[in-house]
Amino acid sequence: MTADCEAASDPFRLEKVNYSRNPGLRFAKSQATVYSGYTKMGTTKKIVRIDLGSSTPVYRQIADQIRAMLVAREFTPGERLPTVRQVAVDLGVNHNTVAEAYRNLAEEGWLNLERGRGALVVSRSTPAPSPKVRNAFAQRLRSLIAQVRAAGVSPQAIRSEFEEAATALLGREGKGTPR
Amino acid sequence: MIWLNVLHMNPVWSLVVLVAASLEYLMPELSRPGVAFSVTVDPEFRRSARHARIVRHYRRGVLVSALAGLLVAFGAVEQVEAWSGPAAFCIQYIVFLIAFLLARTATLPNRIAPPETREADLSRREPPAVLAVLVIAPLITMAAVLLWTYTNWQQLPDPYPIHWGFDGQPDLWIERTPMHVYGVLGLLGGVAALLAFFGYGFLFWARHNTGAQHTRYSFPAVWIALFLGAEYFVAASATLPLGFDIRPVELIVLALLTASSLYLIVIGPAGGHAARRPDDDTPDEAWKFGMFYFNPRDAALFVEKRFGLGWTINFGQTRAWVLIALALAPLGFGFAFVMSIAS
Repeated sequence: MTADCEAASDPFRLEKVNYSRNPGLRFAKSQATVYSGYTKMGTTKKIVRIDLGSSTPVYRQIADQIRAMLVAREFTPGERLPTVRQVAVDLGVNHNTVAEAYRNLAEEGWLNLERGRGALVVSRSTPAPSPKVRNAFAQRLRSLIAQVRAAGVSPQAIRSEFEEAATALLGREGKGTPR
Repeated sequence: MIWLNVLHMNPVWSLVVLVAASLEYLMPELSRPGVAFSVTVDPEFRRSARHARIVRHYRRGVLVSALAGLLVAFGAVEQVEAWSGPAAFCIQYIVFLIAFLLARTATLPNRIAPPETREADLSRREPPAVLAVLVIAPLITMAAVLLWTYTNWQQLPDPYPIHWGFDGQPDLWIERTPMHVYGVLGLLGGVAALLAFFGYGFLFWARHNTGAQHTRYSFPAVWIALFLGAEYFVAASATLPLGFDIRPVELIVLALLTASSLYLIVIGPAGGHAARRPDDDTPDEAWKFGMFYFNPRDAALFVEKRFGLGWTINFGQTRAWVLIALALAPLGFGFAFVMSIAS
């Protein structure tokens, strides 16, 4: 199994699919370009993947993945997300599910919702981190690490995944002194 | 108004029966690798001897359906002689349906749970708005013809031509009365509106999935071209009584329609199923009798058929029923109109 296939099957992994490492997927990308005419040549797909069998509600899966893309600056202020209808149709879920995800992100200050025109990504000032948020983060992280360690993932793999995710999402942001 | 002529043209209906049966014969090959007779299965099952046996029985049924249809078309059943053409089509379809349902029942024990992961590409943009204009343009043409007819009633030919031969000359007429003239235009307008609705639906209310797992894109461009072509053809027909010679346009549209149909069957998305994702992002339980898609939780109004070419309506949506009402209105009106002229 290639790394890309692993990435596609692992729900914990939220990275972009690397087309250059897998000729099959590169073919898929070129096919999409040829057939759709709407995905510009050279643009990277921004895939949202949901699992209907997961205990996490679908609207939260969508919101979490779009938030990850926003944090990683895959969408920049001024860009538009597709309309609620388009995402709901492509995922095969109800409009309300996607609308709820968009509403959550709008409440967090990431999006400006415009009826019928999709959602506009807005620039968002990072709020001052409260100790409560940091504690909650630390607790969730510990719990997640314990969970995957108990499932047999090696400490090296956990570290590598953690670093990879942090680099993908934060870039060079996290290199300075912690706040 | 070709209907009046073809109603009793058994060679035409025989051809329809043969084409339908041929496509139905090929259907098992055209389904996705993870779907057999509208049931989600392991792709390995499609290569098994058991599946081959089910397909063999199904195909025997399709051959019987074609034979039954042809027998009716050529007058073997006296009771339906007056309607032997449409009756042949119905008989063929009913026998095919029975063969399909039997094959589906035999496949059901091999059903597996479909994957529950779905993808959407957020970088995909909706089709440009100009395509919506292309869909609406023929309807505007029809409205203009209606307006011209209303304001220039005396200039309309009497009797009013409703059918033309290959030489471009009219060969069938009706009396120029408001009921007849507006009836013809209303019927053509209803059919054009229905085709426009389908074209628009395929563009904006159907799944255009380009996710990473999709190794083949199922964008229904050719289907849209097919419906748009038919819509333009119908709208152009409405201008014929006004004296326009649209034969070159008709020939081009007919050539495009034929090419699109062949593409869809032979090399298009339908023919390329083997290279595509095994599943189709629809749950098995939403496929009633394997043919009708009923899923109120799915926002898509049109979904790809599991068994058959093209797309089908999501009957779980209120809009679908509006569409059905829209479809039945012109068809019912057309039927009543043709019967009134025939009498």
